[in-house]
Amino acid sequence: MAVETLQRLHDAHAASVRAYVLRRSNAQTADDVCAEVWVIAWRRLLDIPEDALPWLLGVARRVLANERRRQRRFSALRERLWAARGDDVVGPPPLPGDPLLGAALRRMKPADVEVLLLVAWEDLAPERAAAVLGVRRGTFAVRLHRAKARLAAALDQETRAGDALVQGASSITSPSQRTTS
Amino acid sequence: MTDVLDRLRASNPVRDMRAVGVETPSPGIPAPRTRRRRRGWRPAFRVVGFIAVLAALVLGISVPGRQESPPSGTGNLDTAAAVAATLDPGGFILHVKTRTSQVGPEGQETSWETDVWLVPGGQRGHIRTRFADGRILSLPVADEHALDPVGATRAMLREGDLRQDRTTVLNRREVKVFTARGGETTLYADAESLHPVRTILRRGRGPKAFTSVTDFRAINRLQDTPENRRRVDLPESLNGPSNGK
Repeated sequence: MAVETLQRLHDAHAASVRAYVLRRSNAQTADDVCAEVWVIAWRRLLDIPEDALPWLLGVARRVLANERRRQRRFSALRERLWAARGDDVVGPPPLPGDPLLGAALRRMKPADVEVLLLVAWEDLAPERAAAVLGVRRGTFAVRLHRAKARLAAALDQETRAGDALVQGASSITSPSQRTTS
Repeated sequence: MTDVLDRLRASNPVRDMRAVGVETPSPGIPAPRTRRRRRGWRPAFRVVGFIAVLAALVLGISVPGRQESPPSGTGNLDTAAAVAATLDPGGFILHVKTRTSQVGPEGQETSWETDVWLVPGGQRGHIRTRFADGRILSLPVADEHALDPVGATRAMLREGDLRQDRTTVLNRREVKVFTARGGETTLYADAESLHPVRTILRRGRGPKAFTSVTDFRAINRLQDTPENRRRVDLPESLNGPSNGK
């Protein structure tokens, strides 16, 4: 019975969970994180609420945070001595279609970014997005309002900085990298 | 402000759910899950092990099963004191040039050169990297980056992250050879000034293995003048005719 329940959950939500992780990391990390999410779901099957997706995304969020901390520890030494490029460090994916937006997101606190992405990328209603973060709907609404204002300000700042520095000649390959050639 | 969210929606990097690669209906928990979990968490245990070994070495305790012996001659604490006395870069603009060659498991080689302009402390500056294919990347220096190699070396020595192995000669310079915590990175530092001369990083296994050699070609301390401050703030490539070279 438990296996069937897990099977049903997986069929219904595996793509959404994987998409959530992929939007915030890379394919290799997504494999590990998703596997861990479903292990936790298996262990805590009785704790999963009827509306399972926010719960699963909340688990994915925490597993991803742990993975990021682990990778940061490993890259710290390398960064200190520049012995290699940090290509494998997980983080927000590059937004080649809107580099200024990517750079603006990079300026913001991760918590603000997550609030925005849950609504814009995961397409969650505020109540479900609040469940992912484990906060009340009212709290989430306040955070969303502030995060939108901060994103607008960061975008404005990034646009002005881009005008001054790049002079329209560069393209950005990742949120904090400006490329000229 | 709705347009901000709309713009964010339009930038969604994974819009097509078919692209996420979840096609198998089975959770596949038994076999694949276990294998992946091990791969993901094994490094964490390695770090803990390395920290324990390092702590034991610093404290002079022998570690069963390890071949390494505590450093002879100048110890970490002595070295840290020497570095603290000679390497304080405060009050200067730091300019560092490096060249890195990275070789993959099948011999494929990539290389890049890097210029760093930095107000020591890391609060201001940028790092400019020129790849072999001509691309140039300019990144602002964020607070969390320790791009001052002299300061980084000092900090690592102070924190016990480096262990002196031996002294040798590199490019006609007498250098001290340090092994960094974890054993993946080797640092060659000038025997007198302890400025970094070369780092060698060996990392990964199998198809992900690579060796990366970084040579520090220049570490210049420039006077803290308005002109040099401008070089810290603006990438050279955007200042004029040298753009893209």
